[in-house]
Amino acid sequence: MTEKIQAHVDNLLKDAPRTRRVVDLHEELLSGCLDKYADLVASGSSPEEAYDAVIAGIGDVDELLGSARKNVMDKKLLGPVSSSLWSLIVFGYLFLGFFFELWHPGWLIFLVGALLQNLLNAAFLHPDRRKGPLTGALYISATIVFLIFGFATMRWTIACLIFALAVAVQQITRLIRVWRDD
Amino acid sequence: MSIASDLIRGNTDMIILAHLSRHDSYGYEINKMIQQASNRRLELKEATLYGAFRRLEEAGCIMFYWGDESTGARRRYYRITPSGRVALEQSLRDWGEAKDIIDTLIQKDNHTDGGENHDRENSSTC
Repeated sequence: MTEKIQAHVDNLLKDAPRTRRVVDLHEELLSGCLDKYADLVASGSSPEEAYDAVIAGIGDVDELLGSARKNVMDKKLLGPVSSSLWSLIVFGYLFLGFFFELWHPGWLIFLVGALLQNLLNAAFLHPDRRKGPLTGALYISATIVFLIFGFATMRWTIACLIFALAVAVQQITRLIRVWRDD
Repeated sequence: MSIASDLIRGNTDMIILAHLSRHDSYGYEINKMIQQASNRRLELKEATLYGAFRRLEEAGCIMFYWGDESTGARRRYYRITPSGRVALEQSLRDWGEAKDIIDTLIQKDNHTDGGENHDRENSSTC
């Protein structure tokens, strides 16, 4: 019967993102249910009665997961959305090339695609785990600005400064995050 | 029972803090204490209880540590923090005050208090 309780608890949390909060909640909920089950059986309930009482006593877990779930889009959508994005990017590249002979700066559109992909990944992740894709997006943006500025002015040394700016932006956001967590 | 438990639910945090101010504890033990002390008239849902723990943790009123249960899942033990004790004192004062006010307002022989604010027509119907 304890396996049945474990399976029920696993099932309640199966769609939740595996954040620290959810992992902790899983263990706490399971230990609470098992404690209660053992206690009920010890005080004379049948295993079936005890199981029913334990399950009925859990209540609305979705409410608890509310803050863990919010801002997270359905992960199943990420695949289709990503492939549509890349189809559009390839289409855009060929369109710019064939109709406007813009093969040369036109290839930058792939960097824009990478930027959008990072932002998409971030949107589908729990807020606590967005740091990676967002840092990626920052440096890809810097690269795009670097190349556009470089090709437009041909002053590549000055264009390099954009990377210093990107590092500064990253450190400042880190600082802000540390302050906010205190 | 349901009206009483609605009233009590609003004070779950205070009940938990009061229990933790006596000794460290974990979810099931706290719920069992609530059940026994209320003569089985009140039992919190696990979700309600853990929701309250998370709220209190985020507010810095309690901290947790894992128990060392070797079989099955570990218990998440809670300890009240100094600021939790301050919050508890404040809640107890608020509760005492609210209780006084409500007691005074619902006492049958006190209904003439504040009568100067009543319209004459209304006061005659009371």
